[in-house]
Amino acid sequence: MQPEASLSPPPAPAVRALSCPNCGGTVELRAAGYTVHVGCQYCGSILDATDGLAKLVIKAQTALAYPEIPLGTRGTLFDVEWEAIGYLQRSQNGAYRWDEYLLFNPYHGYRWLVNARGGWSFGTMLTRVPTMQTFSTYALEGTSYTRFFRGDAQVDRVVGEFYWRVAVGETVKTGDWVRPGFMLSREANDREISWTINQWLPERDVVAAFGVTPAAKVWPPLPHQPSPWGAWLGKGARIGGIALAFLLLVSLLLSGTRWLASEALPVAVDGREQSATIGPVHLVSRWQRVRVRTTVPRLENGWVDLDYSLIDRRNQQVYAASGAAERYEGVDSDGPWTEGSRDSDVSIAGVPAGDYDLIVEYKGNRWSQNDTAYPDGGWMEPTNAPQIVVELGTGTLYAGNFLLALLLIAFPWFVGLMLHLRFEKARKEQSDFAPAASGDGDD
Amino acid sequence: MDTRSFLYALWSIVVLGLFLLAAVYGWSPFAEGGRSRTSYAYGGSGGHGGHGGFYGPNHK
Repeated sequence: MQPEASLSPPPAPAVRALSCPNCGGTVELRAAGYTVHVGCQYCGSILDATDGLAKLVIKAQTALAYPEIPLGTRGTLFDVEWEAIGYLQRSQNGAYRWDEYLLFNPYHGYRWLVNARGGWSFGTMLTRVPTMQTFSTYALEGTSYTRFFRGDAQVDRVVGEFYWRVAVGETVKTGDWVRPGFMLSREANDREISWTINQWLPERDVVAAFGVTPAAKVWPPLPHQPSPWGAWLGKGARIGGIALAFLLLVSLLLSGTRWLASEALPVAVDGREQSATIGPVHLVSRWQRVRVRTTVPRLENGWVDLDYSLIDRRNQQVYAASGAAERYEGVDSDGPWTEGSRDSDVSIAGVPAGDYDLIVEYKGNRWSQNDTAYPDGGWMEPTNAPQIVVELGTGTLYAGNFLLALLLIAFPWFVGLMLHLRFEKARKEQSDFAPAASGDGDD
Repeated sequence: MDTRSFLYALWSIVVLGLFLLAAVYGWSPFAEGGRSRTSYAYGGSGGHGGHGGFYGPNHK
């Protein structure tokens, strides 16, 4: 079969022109055959267009509306080209105003483009009724929606054409149920109940489609606006989890200390400063952490000052650290108490390979409750044979480094979590059914 | 991968890299001691005890 000789361009949309009986202006019908009422764009009068003639229904309103999206503007949303044919300005009894644009496509019918406080939603009228699950939830296609708003909505301004007999002042009872990204809206009057599912739209999509001017950040968020951090938290948890698992694995492999030397040193009972040398100690790793642990076995109510100098035999470079072991005990009105530790554990960072000597300078001290120096021998009694035991070892891992890395990896995720909770709190606080407002008799 | 996840992954890699680098050099901001500015022969033990003179294998 031969194809047709040439493909003709798609037919231009049928636009009919009517003359406004009030002002004489030309009113265009972009959905002729479907449109019932038209709001004149010049004088604001509402006309009946059902029989092809423009009959005046309501004479000019007090003020004209100037929609941000001019009627007749076409834009593509969800891969369908829509034409804005009608505009409503609505409010809750004059407060909390929002804009609704009626979109039309001859193959897909009508949709709503709703602008509330700068945030956009794409509304599709439902031909089925959502199922009431509980007092506060409705279900549509197996998905639950939680109640959010309840009130009245009235029409304040009308421009363009509509598929029903719209009128300024028309009021309906409204109810909204939400889940992230979607809002289920019910509008009811004496004659009918209609349901619409509104999908939240990123502003960039509406800017790209209809050329609207970007608005400032919508805050507090729209009732159904998804948290910008909510979806990321799951991904972030996976990324952070992998990083933390790697950190834990590496830490397990690198943990531990290899002890190289140990020596017991006597403590002078007269409290003078002493010095001792431990070594030589051969450090084999190119770089390492050197750990010096000193234990004072009989220490009670006193302390030992400790200064360490790790000296590289090759170049006399000093790696220095200091510490103290101190322990006290006593009895007060609460009973016996102890404080401090008989151990001192210090680390020297970044020590290169080589042969080292460790010089330990130490001094035993006794604590006097009566401000008298050494009223008795205490732990430094000669019969106690006071001594310190110094151990030297090497390793690589610091617990502090591990904790710091843990916190740094987790920090961005926790920031995301905090921002998400802040967003959700601000969003939910707008609800007529927020916990704080539950005592106001909403139900 | 979205930008936010990419940046977080990059951040995690940087933190892990720094952690490994610190482990390789045995370094930590939490270490009690480290390299002194002076050598044992010329400046004592860095203020910890007041030693002076040369120390090392020669006098062992």
